[in-house]
Amino acid sequence: MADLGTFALLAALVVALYGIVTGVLGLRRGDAVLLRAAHRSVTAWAAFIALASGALFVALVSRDFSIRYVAETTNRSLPLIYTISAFWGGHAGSLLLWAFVLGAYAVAATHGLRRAPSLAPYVTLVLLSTAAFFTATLAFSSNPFSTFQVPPPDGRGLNPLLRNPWMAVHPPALYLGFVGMTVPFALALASLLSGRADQEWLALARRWVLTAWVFLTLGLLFGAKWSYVVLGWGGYWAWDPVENAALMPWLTSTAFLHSIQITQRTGLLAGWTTALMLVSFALSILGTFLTRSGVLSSVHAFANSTVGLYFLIFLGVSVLVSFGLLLWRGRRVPGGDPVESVLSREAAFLANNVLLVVAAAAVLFGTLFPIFAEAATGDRINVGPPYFNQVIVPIVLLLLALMAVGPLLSWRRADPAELTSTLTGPAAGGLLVAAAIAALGIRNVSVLLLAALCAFVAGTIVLEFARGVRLRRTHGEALPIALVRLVDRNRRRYGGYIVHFGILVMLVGITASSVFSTQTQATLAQGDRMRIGRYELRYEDAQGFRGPDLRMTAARLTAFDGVSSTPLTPRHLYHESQDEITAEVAIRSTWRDDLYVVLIGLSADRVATFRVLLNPMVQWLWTGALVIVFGGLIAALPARRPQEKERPAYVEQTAVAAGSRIR
Amino acid sequence: MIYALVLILALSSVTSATSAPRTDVAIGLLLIAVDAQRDHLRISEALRISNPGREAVVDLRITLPPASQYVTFHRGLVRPSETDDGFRDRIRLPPGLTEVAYSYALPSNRRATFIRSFPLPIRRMEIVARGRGISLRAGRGQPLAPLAVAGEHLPRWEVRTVRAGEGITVVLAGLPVSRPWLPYAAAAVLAAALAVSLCIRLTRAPARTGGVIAGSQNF
Repeated sequence: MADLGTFALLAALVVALYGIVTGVLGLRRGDAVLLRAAHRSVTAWAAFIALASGALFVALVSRDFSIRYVAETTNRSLPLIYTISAFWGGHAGSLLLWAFVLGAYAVAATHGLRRAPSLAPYVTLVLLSTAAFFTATLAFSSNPFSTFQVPPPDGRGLNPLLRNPWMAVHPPALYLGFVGMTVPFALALASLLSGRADQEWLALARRWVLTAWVFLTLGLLFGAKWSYVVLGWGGYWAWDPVENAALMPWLTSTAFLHSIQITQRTGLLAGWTTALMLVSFALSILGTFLTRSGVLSSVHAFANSTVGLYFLIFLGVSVLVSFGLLLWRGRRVPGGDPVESVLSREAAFLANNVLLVVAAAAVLFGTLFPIFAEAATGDRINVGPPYFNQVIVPIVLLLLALMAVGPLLSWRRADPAELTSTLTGPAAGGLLVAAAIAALGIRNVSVLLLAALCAFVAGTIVLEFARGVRLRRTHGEALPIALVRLVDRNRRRYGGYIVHFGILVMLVGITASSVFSTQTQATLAQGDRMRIGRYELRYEDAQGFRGPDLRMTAARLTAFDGVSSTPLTPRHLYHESQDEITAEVAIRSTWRDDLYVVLIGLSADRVATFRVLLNPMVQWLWTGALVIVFGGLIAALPARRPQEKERPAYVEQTAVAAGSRIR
Repeated sequence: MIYALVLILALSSVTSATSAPRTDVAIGLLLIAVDAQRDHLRISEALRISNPGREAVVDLRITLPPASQYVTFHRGLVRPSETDDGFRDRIRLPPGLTEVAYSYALPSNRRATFIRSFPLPIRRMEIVARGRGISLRAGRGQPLAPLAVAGEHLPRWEVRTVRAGEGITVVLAGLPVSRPWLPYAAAAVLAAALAVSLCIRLTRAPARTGGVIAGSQNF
């Protein structure tokens, strides 16, 4: 398998380089045969990468410990699911996954480019250049097929923290997001390289960015869920650099998805939209660099790793080339008319873009500052959650305000009187909600503001749906059918509203769980009870178990909420081969709150120490994220184009009424 | 697998080990099973120690060939500790037979030579090797008829009456080795083929004037 895998990587590199050479020569000489060869090289490259991936997969499943990577990430007692997830459990394997995902995307993209023949040769070249970089890194710096002369009889096993179903799906989702940025990046560069800086690439790029964005959202969700259920600290987001690495391209791609609407509709901000795409790609490479180079643990670890240098060079070259091209060809990018009025949808989207980019820049600064500080002074200065919260919370509040007002504004210029009358209801609703929360005794200004704004946005979204549905209902459609058809006829618009609604639900969960979380710690003998919030917990007993490569201690508790009782079993796991202890948290999750129990310690006489947290509304966070993904998928679906003759008149009326602000 | 093979051999040879004359503590039968794998050997050794007298405690020091790795203890050892050149353990020898078994790995090339010496006299040493087309011989002793196991014929060698500390040289030839150059060579062939096809195309189709094309007809 090792020989096959190494050959596949080397062959993939050869084919990628061949594709680049034939592509460049084909363009210079105007040779269609060479251009076709370049085009086919993408498929051949993807096939060789798939072969290498297959070889690694077989090596993992057959536990071929002669391959260093297999021995370092698996052992004989590892369950099959984690043996498979060990594919991306280590550095070299995760880079191969990167390449594999790029292969799948590249094949789909190049085959879908028949509709944009003028961009196709350039897209192929950019994709092959990225492919060549990753393949060279795999072949010469992080070869997952490097072997031992004498293989060990058993492997070291997967890092115990990664033995969790959420961690089995988190990296693939995240990589599908990161790598997904490559195709729209290639389209953006192709538009600049070809000198056809028109809107053709935008039409193609939007769905790719949405797909990547949906996967990034899922990746962030899975990562947060893993952090919540595995790390045992009771939270899900710590502004850790690895988390930030995924958040930054998510923020800039969100900005792109808004700015593209202005550019496609008015021609405005074309250069800015292109720049957002280039930045999103650069940040996705930066994210991979940060997580894979070792620079986050120490600048010295980075200095000792060749892969870090490879990534830094690639990042530098791609930023220089892409932004150089943007500056060089920028004058050809059509600018469109200037923003006519501050009270317009363009202005709202522009403000939204500025806020999202400022948020991404603030996260970037907070993430990179410790690295630069360590490089300059030798001491690591960590930038903690207080910095990020202070910067991000006001931005989120401003974004919420824009989310409420923006979709209700017309393009070009909104009528202030009409806008005021439209906004009065939702705004009053927001104020009422804030007043109701204040009446409950909550005086936290940020919470009240956020609640008011969330209710405000929810009101405007409901208003938009209600208008559209009402119009369809006047023509005899039942409510559910009217609702489904409304979304189906304008997936982009209503998908966006669903995303906005998901963000509201998520923000409610984040705010409640981070501001109103309570915790306590107690040492209990068998039969002892403790209280937290509305729960009473009784410690029943503790037991020890032995499994392959594992010693486990489990404590049994019963949680009473006055109505029902729930058994909870937090565990302590000692992984023998890794000499590492992990906790398995017990969670009772409801819409109202999460009862979160961690076993801290257990004495010989079975006296146990527990840390118990009551985190309100955490389920809202997960649900909100899923709603965002659902909305994103709807928005990513191709627009329906019914035949004019089939389109009933009232559909036009709906479009005029609910979407009058579109045009 | 190879450990199982050692045990099969040990059981099949039990008569010769127990019928030896009773003198002092000695290794009645020593089985060395060599599993030849690519670039390395997995060597399993089973010692059948006979104690004709009363129960004794022996400080057993086993010297392993230089560069041996991944020592695994299978049977008869209580608390083995690694030493610079092998491992040691204090084992209790009740009257009669005690079995000790362990295995280790040794890097190898096409040919491997290693010396085995043991702290106790050995009445009979049998070496068996597994691997396609390999040959086996030792510094002294004689070859035995190949052992047929699961359709394979494994070469065997026997040495009788080895003194304590006496080194027996074991030589294996025709061992399997990896060919790390093979993937590179195959990729180089592919690169050459593509380069040649490109050159042919370039020479047959001269460049058009006008340079960059939109590529609209090419996809």
